[in-house]
Amino acid sequence: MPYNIEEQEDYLKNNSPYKMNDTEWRAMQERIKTNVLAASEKESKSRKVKFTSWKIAAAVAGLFFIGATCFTFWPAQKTIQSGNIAYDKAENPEKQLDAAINNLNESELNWVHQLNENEITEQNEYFEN
Amino acid sequence: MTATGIDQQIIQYCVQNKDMDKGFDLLMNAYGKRLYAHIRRMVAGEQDAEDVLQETMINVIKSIKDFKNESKLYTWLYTIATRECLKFFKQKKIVLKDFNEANEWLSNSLYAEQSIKAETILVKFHAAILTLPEKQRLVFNLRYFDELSYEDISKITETSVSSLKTNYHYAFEKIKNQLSNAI
Repeated sequence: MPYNIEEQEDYLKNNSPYKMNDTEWRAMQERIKTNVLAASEKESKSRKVKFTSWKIAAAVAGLFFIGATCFTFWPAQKTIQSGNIAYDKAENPEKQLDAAINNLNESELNWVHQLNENEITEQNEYFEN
Repeated sequence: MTATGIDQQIIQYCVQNKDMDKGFDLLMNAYGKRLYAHIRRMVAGEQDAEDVLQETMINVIKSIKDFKNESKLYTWLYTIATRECLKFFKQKKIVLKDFNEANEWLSNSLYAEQSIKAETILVKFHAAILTLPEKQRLVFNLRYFDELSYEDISKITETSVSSLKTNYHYAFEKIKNQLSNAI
């Protein structure tokens, strides 16, 4: 007669070939507990070491960053400053020229125009030739 | 679904280093035997089951601080235990090249530990379970022995409910046939 697992469900569910008695269970539980707690302690120690290393690395990186920032901005600031000076210098002759032209009287202005015209004619002749 | 009183206590103890051993005891008393039975039905061998349970517990303690009360604690525990079982099989399969060899090895480890009682129907029933493909065995065990709902099994195995029902049906029929032939 074939074995009917539906009819025997209670027996099959409530019995197991893997059953462990209480003493064996407790002994196994203790073994696992010891190993789990040891693993956890090891993990938390390595996490602490990792955290400390991370803090040192962060401090070094921070110092490096500050240093790098200072060394980058200091010459940059100098360049900007010198750039400003150069800009001022470049602007000043123009202003100076404007001021000088404004201060010229009529005859002096005529003379400057005459000078420019002569120069332009000379240049044209040169290009024509 | 929020964690029950005992689950909250387990979590509270396990996340604090000083109370971790208390938490571990609570956890083992509440769920240890069920988890062990689940693992043992999957891997069969006593020593293998102990190793897998230990790995499960190490992972549970390590990640319990990240447990979100979105699921039940036991569903989460079963998920970790199942993952560890599958990891164990993956490692074994590297040694045992094909599926038949792996399943034969599982039945052998069951018979090896049963000695004289090896011919009883109970052992044959469990040997038949061990010959099932991994997924069918997993679904069958969780449904038949642990009496988990398909929804919970779906969360544990990350498989659809319809696929689980099909797997369970096939598994049940295969076991029935094997037992009919064995008697």
